[in-house]
Amino acid sequence: MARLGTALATAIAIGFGLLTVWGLLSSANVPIANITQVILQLAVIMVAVTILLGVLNLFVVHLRRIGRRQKGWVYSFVLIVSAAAVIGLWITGQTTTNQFLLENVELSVESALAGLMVFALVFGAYRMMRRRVTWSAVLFTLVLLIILIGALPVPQVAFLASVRAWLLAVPVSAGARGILLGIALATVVTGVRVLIGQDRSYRE
Amino acid sequence: MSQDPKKIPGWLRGKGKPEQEPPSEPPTPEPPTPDTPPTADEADSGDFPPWLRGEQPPAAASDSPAKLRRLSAQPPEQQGSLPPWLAGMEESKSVKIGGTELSEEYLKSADELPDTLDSEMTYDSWMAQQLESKRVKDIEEEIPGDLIDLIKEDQQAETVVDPGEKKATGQLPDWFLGLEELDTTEAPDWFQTDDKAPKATSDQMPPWINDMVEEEPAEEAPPEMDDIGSFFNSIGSSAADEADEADEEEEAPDLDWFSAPEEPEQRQHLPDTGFFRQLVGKGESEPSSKALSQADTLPSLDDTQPKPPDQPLTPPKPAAPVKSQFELPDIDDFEDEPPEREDEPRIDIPQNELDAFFDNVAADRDDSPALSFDDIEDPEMEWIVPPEPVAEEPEPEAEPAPESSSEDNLNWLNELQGIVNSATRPLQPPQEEIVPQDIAKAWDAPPVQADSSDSEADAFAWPETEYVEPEPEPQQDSDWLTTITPDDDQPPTEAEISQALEPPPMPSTPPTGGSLLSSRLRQAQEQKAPQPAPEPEDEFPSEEALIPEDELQTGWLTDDLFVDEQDQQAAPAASSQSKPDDDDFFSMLEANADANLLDEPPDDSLFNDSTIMTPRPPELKSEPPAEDEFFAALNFGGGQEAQPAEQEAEPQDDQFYSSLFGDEQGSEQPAASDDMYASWSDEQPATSETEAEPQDDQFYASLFGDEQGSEQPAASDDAYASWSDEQPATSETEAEPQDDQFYASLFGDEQENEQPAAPVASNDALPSDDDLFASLNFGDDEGSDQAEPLTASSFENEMPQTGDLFGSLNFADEQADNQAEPSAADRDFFAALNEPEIDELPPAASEEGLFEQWSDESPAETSAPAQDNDFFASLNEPDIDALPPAASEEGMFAQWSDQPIEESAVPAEDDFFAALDMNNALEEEPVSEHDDVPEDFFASLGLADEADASPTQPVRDDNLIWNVPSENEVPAEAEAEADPYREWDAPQKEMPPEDDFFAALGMIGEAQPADTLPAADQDVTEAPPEEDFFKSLGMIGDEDASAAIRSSGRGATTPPAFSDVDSYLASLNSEQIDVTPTTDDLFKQGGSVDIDALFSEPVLPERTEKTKTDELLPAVNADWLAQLQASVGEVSASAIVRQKEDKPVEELSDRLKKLRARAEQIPDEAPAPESDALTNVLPGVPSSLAAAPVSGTESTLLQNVVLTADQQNKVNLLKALVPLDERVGTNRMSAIEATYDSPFMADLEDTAETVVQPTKAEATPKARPRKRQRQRIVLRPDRFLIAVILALAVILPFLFTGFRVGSLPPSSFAAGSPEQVAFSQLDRLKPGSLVLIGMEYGPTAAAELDPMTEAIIRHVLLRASYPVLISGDALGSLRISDLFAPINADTAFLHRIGLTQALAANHDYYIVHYLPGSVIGLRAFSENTTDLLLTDIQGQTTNLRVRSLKDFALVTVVTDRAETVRNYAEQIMPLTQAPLVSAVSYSAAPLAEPYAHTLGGGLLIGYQDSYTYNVMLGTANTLNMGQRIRIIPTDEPTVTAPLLPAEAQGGVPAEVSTEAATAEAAATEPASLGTATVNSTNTVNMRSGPGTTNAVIAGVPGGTQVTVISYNADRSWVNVRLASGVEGWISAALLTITPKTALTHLEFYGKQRIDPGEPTNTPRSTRVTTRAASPTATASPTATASPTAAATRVPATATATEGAGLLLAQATSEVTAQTTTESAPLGVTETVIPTATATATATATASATSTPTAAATAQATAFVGAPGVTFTLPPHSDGYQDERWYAMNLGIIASAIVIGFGAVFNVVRGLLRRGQRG
Repeated sequence: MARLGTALATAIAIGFGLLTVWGLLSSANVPIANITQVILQLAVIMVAVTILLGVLNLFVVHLRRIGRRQKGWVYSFVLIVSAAAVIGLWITGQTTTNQFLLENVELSVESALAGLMVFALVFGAYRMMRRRVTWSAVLFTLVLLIILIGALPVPQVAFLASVRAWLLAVPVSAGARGILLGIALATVVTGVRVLIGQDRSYRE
Repeated sequence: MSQDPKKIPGWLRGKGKPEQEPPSEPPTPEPPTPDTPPTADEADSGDFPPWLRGEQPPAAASDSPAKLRRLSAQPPEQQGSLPPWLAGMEESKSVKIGGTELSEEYLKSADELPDTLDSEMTYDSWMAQQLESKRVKDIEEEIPGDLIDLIKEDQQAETVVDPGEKKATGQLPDWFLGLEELDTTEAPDWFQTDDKAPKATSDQMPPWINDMVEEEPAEEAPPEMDDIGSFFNSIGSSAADEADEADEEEEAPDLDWFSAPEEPEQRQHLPDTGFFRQLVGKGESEPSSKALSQADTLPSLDDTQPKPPDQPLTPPKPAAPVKSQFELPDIDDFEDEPPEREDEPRIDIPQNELDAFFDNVAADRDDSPALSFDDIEDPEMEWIVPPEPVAEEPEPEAEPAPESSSEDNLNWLNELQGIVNSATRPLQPPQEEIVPQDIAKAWDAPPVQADSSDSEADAFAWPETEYVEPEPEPQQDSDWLTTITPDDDQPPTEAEISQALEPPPMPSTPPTGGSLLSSRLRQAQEQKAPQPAPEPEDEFPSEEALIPEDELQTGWLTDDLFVDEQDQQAAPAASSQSKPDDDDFFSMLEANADANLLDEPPDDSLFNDSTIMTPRPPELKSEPPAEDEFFAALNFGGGQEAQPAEQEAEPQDDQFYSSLFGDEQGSEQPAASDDMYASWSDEQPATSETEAEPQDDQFYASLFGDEQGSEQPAASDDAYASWSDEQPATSETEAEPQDDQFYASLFGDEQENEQPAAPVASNDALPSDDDLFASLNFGDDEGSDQAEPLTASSFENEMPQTGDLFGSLNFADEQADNQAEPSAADRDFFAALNEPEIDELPPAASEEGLFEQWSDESPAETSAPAQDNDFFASLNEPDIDALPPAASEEGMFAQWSDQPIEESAVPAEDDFFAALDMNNALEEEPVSEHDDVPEDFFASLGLADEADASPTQPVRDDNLIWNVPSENEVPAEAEAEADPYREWDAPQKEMPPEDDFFAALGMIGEAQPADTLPAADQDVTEAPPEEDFFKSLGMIGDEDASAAIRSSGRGATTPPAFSDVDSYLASLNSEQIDVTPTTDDLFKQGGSVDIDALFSEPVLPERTEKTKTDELLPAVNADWLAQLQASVGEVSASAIVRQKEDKPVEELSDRLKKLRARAEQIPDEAPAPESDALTNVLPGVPSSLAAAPVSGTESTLLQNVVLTADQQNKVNLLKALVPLDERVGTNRMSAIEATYDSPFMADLEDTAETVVQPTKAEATPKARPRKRQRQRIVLRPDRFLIAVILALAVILPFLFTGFRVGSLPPSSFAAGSPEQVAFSQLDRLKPGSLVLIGMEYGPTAAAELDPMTEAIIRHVLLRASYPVLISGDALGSLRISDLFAPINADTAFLHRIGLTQALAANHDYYIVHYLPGSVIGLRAFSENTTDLLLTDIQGQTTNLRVRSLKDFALVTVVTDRAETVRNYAEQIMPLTQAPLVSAVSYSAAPLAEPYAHTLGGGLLIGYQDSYTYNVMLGTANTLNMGQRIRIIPTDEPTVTAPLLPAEAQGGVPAEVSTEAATAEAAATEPASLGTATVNSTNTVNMRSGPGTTNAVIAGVPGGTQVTVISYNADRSWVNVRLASGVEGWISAALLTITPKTALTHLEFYGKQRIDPGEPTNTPRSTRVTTRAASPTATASPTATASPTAAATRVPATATATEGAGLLLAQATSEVTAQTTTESAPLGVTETVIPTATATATATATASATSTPTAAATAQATAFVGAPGVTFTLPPHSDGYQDERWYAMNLGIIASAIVIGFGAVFNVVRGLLRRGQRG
């Protein structure tokens, strides 16, 4: 039964996958396209449900932690309270408050954290060659400096700006394209594997 | 059971040796010739078992009864050869301790002890075992397969199976399944069913006993052997086996049995007595302070107990189990598999003690059908997962050797013994005395049953053949046994006891088989003998009902016994204090042994240490090191002194104790004394202080398990904590799992079974090998003895079971004892030992588990009823339940407390000791301790004489003590369970733990309790808890106590009951020593405790008041149970310990934290060295277990001791093994690790890797630096400097213009650049177009991309288009609306777009769905655009009726992830013809750029482009703002004519009017939404209306092109017009529609969407829209009018006189420049812009004017060239855009400098290093 079940699950998955592909490749007016849309909607709904589940799980986990007084339970408490407050505000329609919190708390905090990265990144770059000086490290450092300095709107480093532009237009773009091509190929391969059931068991 | 002195052997009565030998004198160190019969009274020797007498083991005589065989089973070899060190224990007393000289020989004897190095057992193997034990095991593994089989068999076998048992549960016993109930039917049933144990007996017997009996008497067990007998046999056998080896081996006295002849190594793995010696420390080398303190606290070394350290603690192994003993495979063998039983089917699972235990049980079952697994053990195997470390060696050992069928039952016991033996190999072969038949009789003959004599004989009878009498111990045991046996039904007569006691003069002869336990047991017996089975009835029935003296006396322990012990002990106790050195310790042990043993040939080592054997103490007094303490603890009598010390003493002791009794204690105790106290303190906060003596606490705890701990005032925080923790909540306790396990095993399982265990435990407590073993043996013996009476009386048949039980208990105890010795290893060892038990314990492997179970049960059965049941069942649940005192510790204590005992104030130790001392008091002999415990214990058990004397009583006793109702009682008990627990909990608080405990046990006779010893005279009611305890135990009758006292010569004058250890000691040594200050006081004083002083202290008055701790102790929380359960099955004891060690302080419960803090404070009070020493002793113990303050000063013992070179070497070895220097932190390495690291263990190592070459130079091992990983925040200058630089770089530009480096971004995008393309795409938007904007970023990128998004939205609005915003980012979608806030606040902008009101959602813009699922979401959106755009993010109707993505004129994505761009490119763009404009962050630009190039939509990157974009927007408003179209949700497609005039009033530029006219004109034109082609090869129908129901008005051939006029609601039908002008409806499915280029939103929806149009001023709801007829866009000529508008507008912008002038000026200039170059594309209003520019420029700077170029220059000059601008001057641009830009520039510069400098620096640095290398 187990094998049969697996085969069945795989067959279903493959079937729907092919159906979806078929629908996506067909014109919008084709009936199959409607089915595809339904499938996609279901997928989106499921994803949304997973988000809800995640929220619930979040609550459960942290409530449990609070109940057990586990380490960091205070933070959990704060989290729960915050989440509950936000939800409550949203439900009650007090979006203004929510927006205020979002902009003045969430945004500020995340932006600040992002801003702090500069310190770590710069320090990391500063120490990059402390252990070992390699050609790659040197190259990296040079390019980094060129890009940085070249970005400066300072006439004195105009030549670096041109170098920077060239770097971005040629090597960087080439690399990016190569990466994108690789991604595309990998996506196709993975898609095929998924469609034929080689990449997923579809049953656990 | 009044003590009949006649019945009591003389030796028990203390007539023997103590009299002969002045207690003050150290035990004559006879060479450890086990053969040397007890020097005491040879005349009495007749009473002694043969092995005790040094005779050949009865085992030799196969015909001897089983009892004898068992006794004989004890290693006879030992007799023959005492360890040299023992032999060396001659009287030469070079050392004075406490004024008492210690004979050199005595000290030498210690020297002779083999070093642990000798042990064959390698730690590797041991480790392997532990690991194996730790391994998570399946239930199947957990449960011995044999067990299951046995169960089945039992079920099948009617005889075996109890009818009452629940077979329905299936193969597995109910208790195992957790289904077990406390139904009376269970326990009693099996008794009934049991052939051997008639119901009547069962009734008499306490349920738990029954259970035990059932369990233990395995089928395998030889019929002849009783449980006890088997046990002893096993012990004896082991002892015998060991004895053989022991002879060879120096130290490992009793361990021999364990190590078994097969493997001498095993012995080694456990620290030998030498180890303990070392622990104790020598005067020279600083003994661990703790050890010293312990030593101080330890009862006088001189105590009579002659237990040679070498001698196996375990009494002669029971014949059945013996087999295992003999055969005991190496520990290594045990690791993987349990040793196979020769006789019986081998049990494979033995790794776990539990398994072994079960196996044994099963075997027993086989033998005794009565047994039922259910009855056997409650604990669920599953969650009990055998504590890893602990289970290791011990188990396997036990199993391997099951020789006889009974052996199986006892296998695990054997294992334990084996472990213990291995750990503490007796130097000499255990001089197990073959229990003379007489003795056997005494043992066997349960007073209760007439038949019991026979049955008991079987049960208790030592395996004749097997037993080889362990030399010293056996003697003691034998004595003890003899005392027991003589009277079958009745407790041994005094004469018997005295005889028994006498024979084994400890000092004279090397410790015969008698172990500490045995000695204790003896003592207990002696003491109890008079009190044997003291009125079990009274006691049992009610907690309070302490066994009357009569009853107690009825027990085999009589007053005389006690008296004797007291006498004996008294001296030793005092003396013991003085002995510091190891040698001293051993000598002390010997002395103690002597004293305790009542002249029995002392096992020097053991008894030396075990000051317990007080008789000599005065003389010997060598202060027992921790070991001593331990021993002391073990030796109840000796315990007086020793006990206090013990607590503090090495955790080992604690462990041991814990193992013995409370799980909790053990667990907690393992830690430093502090920890122990803490554990206690938790429960009894106050106590900790008072009870300065952690050791004592520990000991108590160990003895009584959790309860004690809890109840006991436990001085030490940890200990208290552990207790309290456990009770309340548990996990906190941290108590070391091992201990816990051990305790649990002991207590939980066994102890619960109980008390037998407790007494035994006490015996076990003996740390030294010999001592331990001796003690163990003793304990066992005693236990067995006690058991015997019960069995004999009530359960003849069952006796074997009981015997097994006791045996098991004893085993455990013994093992524990043995284990206790090795500090680290000890733990493991103990853990291993305990594991099985733990495993068995249903509630939890850990202490907590036990407690939880207990507590849970007690307080509220609800929590873990099943477990509890199981647990109790296993433990004799019925008993527990029945026991009013409690199943749980608390309960016990509570009970105790409830009882007359009011001594709460007394430190637990004291209480405990006092309780213990009861016996001692009675018996001055070394055995006194034993006496105490045994008495009580046995009394409680009713096993002892009581049973014999009054069968009924014993039963009661049992019930009382154990709460184990007889079968009949069971039901009531079940109910009582809860109560008992409650009682426990409550009482604990109130009552001093000890008291409570005792009370709970009901063991304590009112008067008798140890305390009572001195106070024997006192009234029972007044008697301290101990008394109560003993009374409850029935061991001690008040009368007995008094009698004992009298006999001892102390007389009634001695203080009443033992309130404290002091009191106890005083009682014991009252004659010799007057101890005025109590130990508590001493400890309170701050750590400098002089043993001498301690012992010299006067007895404390009885405690009438509850200790603070009692009151303060919080009630047990059920939570901790749960916590325990969680961790129970996970790991072995050691693992648990580690876990707890690792457990961060934060996670500790408040209580533990407090305790911890307290403990930490304590060290300050006490000298550091002490604490270090203790902690070192237990490497694995968390730092929380800080050293007890008690150890503040070096004991005089150490100071006084003179060490020989050898001794010093040994001390050094010990020190090497146990780092002394530092306190071990939480991260301290485990014992095993420490051992490995120890250079001295090289010999033991199997692999070279682990071996550390010993550096002999390391006389003083270096303590391992405490690895405290404190995470400091190291501030690196470079990092700090860089951070500062960067911070300043980004901040200064905001403050000082001088730091504004570089130029602002260009005011326009370069022609042909992606940015320009993007801008153009937006700028080409026609009014009314829909623009899809994906805001795909979160707050993290908001700072960078928000300006970009805002710019795009503005641009879209400026183009009179409608942005439709979506997001796949949850937060991004929420933030979209916020982006409109600044726009709405920008009135100027609103004016620009022709609005006087703020933008309204779903009118001017649309924020729609959050698209979950990333790619899937996008794809779904692209596929189902219409539906997804029907509602906005808030669920409001958008009124957007988009058919598909094709309806969007432009798609824009703003993101910080290149992947998002790719997703849009892949998922969106294929379905739309609109271009894609990508606005990305800097980070996403590289990968996004290819798509931008490919799709041609343009690319905007980062803040720079957004800046430029915004600047451009400031001037590029080329749209005719008056043409904005508003969509109205109306169905009427009315198109209004020009509304513009009205809007113009609102400030709309005049030019609008022109467009309005145009628009109006256009509005009249028929709407054309585009063209369509019939997509069919056939002719399609054109109908009069949408829907097939309408009539067909025409046929349209396929391929015909038609004009699209409109759509129906759902756009499924298209209103078309044929070229002929005929209009009709064709299905949209049949048409290929080509939308009109740049189809506006208005056009798309056709007329019906157009609002008739009203003045702009109309309310928004009726907002008028004008048709943004595309032609109007081209109506640019009107732009000429724009200058006016611009002029009007500029003020608004410029009004931003706030300072925005700069921006405006710049923008103007840029635009101007652009105008010159790119006017063409912008087309519309080139001319207008310049005008505006002029105005703006004028506003900004008067001079900057005329030309845009000039303006730009002026700007540059102003900010870049004028660094002198003051801080206040710099105006900020809107949104600080400029400042941000400059900050970025400066930040980049700083970063580049830093990075460049770093690169250079590092490169140079690397080069320099390379050069240096070169």
